Amino acid sequence: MADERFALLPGTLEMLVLKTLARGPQHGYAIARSIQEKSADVLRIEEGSLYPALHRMERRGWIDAEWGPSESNRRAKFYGLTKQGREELKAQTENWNKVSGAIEQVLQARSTGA
Amino acid sequence: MGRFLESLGLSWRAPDPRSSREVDGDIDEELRFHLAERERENRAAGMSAEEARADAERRFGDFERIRGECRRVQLGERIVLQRLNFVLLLVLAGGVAFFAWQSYAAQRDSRYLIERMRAEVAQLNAVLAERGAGPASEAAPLVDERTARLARDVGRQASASDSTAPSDEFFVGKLGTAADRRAAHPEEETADEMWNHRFNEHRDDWRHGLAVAQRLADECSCERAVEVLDVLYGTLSVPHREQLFKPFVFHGGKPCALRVLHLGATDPEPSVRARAYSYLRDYAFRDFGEDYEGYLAWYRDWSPRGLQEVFYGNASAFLERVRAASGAELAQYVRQWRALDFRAAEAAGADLVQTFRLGGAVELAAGWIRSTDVETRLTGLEWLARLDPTEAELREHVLPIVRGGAEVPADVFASACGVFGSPDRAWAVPELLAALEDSFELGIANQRVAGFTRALARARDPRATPVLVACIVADDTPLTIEGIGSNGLQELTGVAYDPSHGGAWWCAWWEKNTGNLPEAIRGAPLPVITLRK
Repeated sequence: MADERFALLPGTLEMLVLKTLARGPQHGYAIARSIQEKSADVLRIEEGSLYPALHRMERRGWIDAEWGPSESNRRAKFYGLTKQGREELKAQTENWNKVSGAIEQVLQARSTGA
Repeated sequence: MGRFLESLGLSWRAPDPRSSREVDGDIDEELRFHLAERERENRAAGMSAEEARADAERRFGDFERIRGECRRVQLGERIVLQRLNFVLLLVLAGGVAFFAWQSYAAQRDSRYLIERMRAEVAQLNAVLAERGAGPASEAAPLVDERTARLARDVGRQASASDSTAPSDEFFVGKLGTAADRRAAHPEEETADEMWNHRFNEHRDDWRHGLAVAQRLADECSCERAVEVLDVLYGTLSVPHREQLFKPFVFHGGKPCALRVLHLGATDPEPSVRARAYSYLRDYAFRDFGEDYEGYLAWYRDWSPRGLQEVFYGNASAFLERVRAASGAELAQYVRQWRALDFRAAEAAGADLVQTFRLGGAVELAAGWIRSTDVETRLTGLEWLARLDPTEAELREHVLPIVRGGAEVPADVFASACGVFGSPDRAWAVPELLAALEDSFELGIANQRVAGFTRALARARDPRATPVLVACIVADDTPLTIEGIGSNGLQELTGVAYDPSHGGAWWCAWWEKNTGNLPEAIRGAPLPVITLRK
């Protein structure tokens, strides 16, 4: 059976992470699960690739991190959205909406040629 | 600089204060946590241990590559700084060499000049002597004085090129004087201004905000800290407001935690409110989420009361909600309960374990343990373990799982075994040992031995040692050797795990060391474990 899942478009992982963290702090595994669940398992992410992205976002100040107990009582690193991250999410979402809207228009346009 | 580093895939911030080893350790722990969680979930979904691990690793991707990428992101600035340091060191060494050469050349020229002037003086004295005036009694000292002054000046120039910086004592003296002046005139700054100054020194650095809030919580009374925050809160940056609750709620928290959290819960910035609400869960046993009105109503009701009453009242209400819930709502409450930290309640003198027990939480947990759903059973075991269960309760609800056969799922067994892993439950050790022996007779030891051994090691009971050694002697297979050797025999005997330590090796070890073991097992023969034929 063919794999019905799709790889993420470049640059969209960070937007999805920011959106996921808008609900409150979460550890990396919960973020990966949340993205897969919310996309009804359509988006395919190499789960490990989430972590360099998280660390980059932390260095940029979009998110911060603290260690705390997880649901399974193991020590886990929880990430939280900062104000800067919230602004970045807004900007990235607006940009995404513009681009996807434009692509949609192109795809829907009827050919006017002969 | 920032843009340049950004173009290299790095972003510029203050270097991480952790050592490289600490950074590596944190990265490793975070990535392994992910793998363990995925594996745990896979096991709960019915995969075998091997399948669960293989699937977790496949989904994760190349572990070493990802660890390397994380390391580059975390330590990028440090690597750049190390390279800059190296270049600066080279430049500095070159500079020192240049100035040393200049100094040497200047001294060499000076020596030549002095020699030449001495020769001129000698010539002058000779001419004066020829004219019959004897040695120049007035001129000579004059010339010698000029020569000496020139030599002194040259020498001073040479030594000045060696050292141009003030000494350490200079800085120490300056700092000491400034500190003394501040100590002598505390009225120069009011306390509020001092905290304002401290907070706003680095407005964009959340670590700085956290550090100052920690000082405020440590150095001031709760009342005073709240007064300071009431005055300053509006002037603080968002990164600082996001952090400042932590010292007031972590590790048991402070009595004024609710008043400090109220500042965040009513903050116009959503990210600050989200933080405050997440900490409020330990007090309200509720997730306010975006329910601002709900929070305000809660605060109106509870803030006038003492913290003990807040904990008792809200814990009881939470238990009622759990009791009435089912399905997804119940699962949500259970997740919420797992994340609860009782330390704040303990610090306030509220015994929440007793509150939950009196409210019937043990019976709730027992019901879940009897469920057919693995996740629900695990929740029940976890819940019961936090309720300080009595021996009778554990014998009734948990021991049957440990003594159960192949029908008990591996995760449920491991969780049940873990409940007994404590020195306070020594009564359970003979039960665990009997169940361990039975597992060999039942032919299920491969799935059980690691769980038993971990629990016995945590119980730190020497009676486990001969039985564990006897298990290896009876079943000299790699799974048993590893399951027992690496999960607890090492802690009980002090012998580091080694895959080559099979039955014969442990037999010899027992013969040699049995006289030196704790009294309870000293000189005892090894029991005989029967394997399933």
